[in-house]
Amino acid sequence: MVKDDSIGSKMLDVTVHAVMLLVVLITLLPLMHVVSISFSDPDQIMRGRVGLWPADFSLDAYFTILFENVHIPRSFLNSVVITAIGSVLNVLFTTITAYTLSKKDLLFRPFFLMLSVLPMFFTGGIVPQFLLIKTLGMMDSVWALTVPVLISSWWLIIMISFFKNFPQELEEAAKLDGCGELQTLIRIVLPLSMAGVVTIALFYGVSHWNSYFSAMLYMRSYDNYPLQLILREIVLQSTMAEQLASQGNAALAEDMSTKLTPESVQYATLVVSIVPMLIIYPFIQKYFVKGIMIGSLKG
Amino acid sequence: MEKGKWKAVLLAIATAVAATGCSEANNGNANEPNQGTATTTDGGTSGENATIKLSVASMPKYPPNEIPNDYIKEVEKRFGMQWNFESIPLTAGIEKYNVMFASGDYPDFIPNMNSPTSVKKWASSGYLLPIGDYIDRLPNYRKLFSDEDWELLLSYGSSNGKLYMLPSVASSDPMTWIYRKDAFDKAGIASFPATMDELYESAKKLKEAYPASVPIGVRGGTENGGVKNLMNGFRQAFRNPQNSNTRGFWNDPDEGGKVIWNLASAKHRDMLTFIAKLYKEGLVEKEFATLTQDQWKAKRLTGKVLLDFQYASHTVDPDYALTDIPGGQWEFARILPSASEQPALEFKPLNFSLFGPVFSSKLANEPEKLDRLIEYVEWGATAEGQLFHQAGLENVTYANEDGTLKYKEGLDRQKVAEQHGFDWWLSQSAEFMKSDAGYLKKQEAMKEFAPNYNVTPQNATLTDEELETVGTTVSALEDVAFQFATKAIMGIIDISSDNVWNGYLSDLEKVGLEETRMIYEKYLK
Repeated sequence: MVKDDSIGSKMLDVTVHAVMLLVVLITLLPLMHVVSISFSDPDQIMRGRVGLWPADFSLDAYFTILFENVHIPRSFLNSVVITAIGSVLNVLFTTITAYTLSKKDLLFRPFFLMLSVLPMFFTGGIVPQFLLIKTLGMMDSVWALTVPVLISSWWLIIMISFFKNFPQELEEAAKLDGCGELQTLIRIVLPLSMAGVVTIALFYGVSHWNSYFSAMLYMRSYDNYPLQLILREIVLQSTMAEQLASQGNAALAEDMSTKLTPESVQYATLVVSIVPMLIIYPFIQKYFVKGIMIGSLKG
Repeated sequence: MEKGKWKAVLLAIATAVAATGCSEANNGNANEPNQGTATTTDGGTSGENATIKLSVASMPKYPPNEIPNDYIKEVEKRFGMQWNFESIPLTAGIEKYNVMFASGDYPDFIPNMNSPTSVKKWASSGYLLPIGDYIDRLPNYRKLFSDEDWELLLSYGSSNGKLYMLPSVASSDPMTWIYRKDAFDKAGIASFPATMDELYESAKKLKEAYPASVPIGVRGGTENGGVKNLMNGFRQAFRNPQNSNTRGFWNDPDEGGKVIWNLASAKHRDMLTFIAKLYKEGLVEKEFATLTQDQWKAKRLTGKVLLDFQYASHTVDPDYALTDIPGGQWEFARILPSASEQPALEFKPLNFSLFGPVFSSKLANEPEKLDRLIEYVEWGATAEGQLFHQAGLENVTYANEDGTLKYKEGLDRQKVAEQHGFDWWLSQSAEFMKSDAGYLKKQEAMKEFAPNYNVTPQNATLTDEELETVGTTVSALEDVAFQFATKAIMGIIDISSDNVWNGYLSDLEKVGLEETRMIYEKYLK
């Protein structure tokens, strides 16, 4: 590669770095503010004295969410369980289905492909799904949040494309050595497709972690609420008070707006909800960079 | 060997996954694993009485930590019921209830529904029991309201001529000017201003005495909350009050009772002109349009606000106590200042709140269940029932200390609701609240402020179609009006210009002002 030492090139480098620095600051500053509020004394927050650094450093908010508020630790564990089970099942079913559908000699392949793609355009609707989940006895269980979203059509298509481009010779060699279809998939194809698998696992995982609407519909007891649902409720308390006030429900609005969850606790919960994804991301980044290119090139 | 290992691993994963899911499936799912609704014989506490199984969904402010809790167990025991209880809190939104009703899988009883528009919608779809038809069987509940209030309640709470919910008693807290008594004394203002001119002069004196403060604070809010809150303090003075239930449409006595929209009247223009003058001279919060509620509260606590149009009980609310300001003391104004020689106009507050129990229409064919629920509601309306719901159980959640009832050490309303499931229902317990400073202040303020309420609010029972039209159009009208008001107050547009004002009225007409006014005219007589 030829190094360009011209002034124009250097100017471009400086500009690019300056813009990127600006982007980093725009992204990082609100996060720092959130973290700083979560570690500040509630009184200082109320007086608007918290910027990028905590004012009167305090761990009270974290103490509250970890030891006083029974909902948050439990909902955190629920989210972990839902995300783990959901992602494992998603990856399992998506890869098996994609591998099968990537085989050109599959009987009725176009029909199955069409069936797989259909949910991208049409869904059954919330009410039929609610009734189905109830009839199947899955209400208030992790299954209600994982089974209806076992396979995403989008990630299925991506994985089909990935498997289609997998060297046929390797599969044939495995079969010559006595592997069946499942063994070929598990021992040969999957280990060599980790970039794709980890990428879809990450996206599935993030989707489960951030999801609240299904939980709101299907979870009956607070014990089973995921973290995002608890977080949503905490954040919505103040909005709800304003809505009640606009409906003329002044007494209830005032009732609602008093004893709101302290801002430090709201922000500490936000931090706790962000941390797992922040921790996981660096470990799978190497796969993610490769995986994101899946299907972008053919041949 | 390899095959066997894989099978074992897969089997172990499948078993673990199934076990986790199944254990969650029944975890906390009410106190009854079977969701049937049959009647069984209870050999327990209710003796010979048959135990009635009911599905109950609750919309609490503070969701309970555990189900069943003391509240559920006690109600079940006292009334021979077995509740399949689900907590869907207020903040979870109304979506879940909508899906439940639309799917036909809805609860028999919701003790604390807080969405009048949803109740109306469900009632017209036939999901709810017209509980008003059973009011003769609820004499204690009925006694919570005077005849006058009951008539008003029926006009506000009915759908298609029937009452589908049992509203709660509202402990009204009058909104009035609250002011820093110490600051008024320092500025030499002997009494609270009786006119807008006096208010203006007082604000100037306060500004001189406290240059770092804003004489008139504004409670902020999202979207147009700031400008709405700012105008709230001046509407009455200009005889142009706001009735939120009719979205600002009312019969203006100064216009011969004609139905007008308060944000399109000449009085509104006069008010904006006056507030713009205050704004220009730095007498009102400069950041009213963007201020958040937290920022407003911070300003209050740090002494940056000397006058605020707020709830009277804020004067004794510990959350707003001026602990950082020596001698700082809030007081509430007993009068509403006027902008003319005529008195200010203000709507009488409603003594009820459209928040309370709703019953499934299925109960019409299940008299045993309905009887049991009516018995429970009727008891809930008694002094004993009110105390039970608000305070819980004596020596468990509250104690009697020399005649004063107080939550037990370490407990407060939120903790009692979360840990034991109790929270006030139908009406606050006067017996329990008699030691609460905020409650007493509300009562005192209501009594002293009563003469200022000189307009009885009317309700417009719109049809579903009208409701939809009004909902969409008034939101659009308000957007135009609040943006105009913000610009006028900030001096971005000249409110004194007839062209500007007529242009504003013309914009409102384009959005559908006259069409909406005609709808309200049918109901507001």
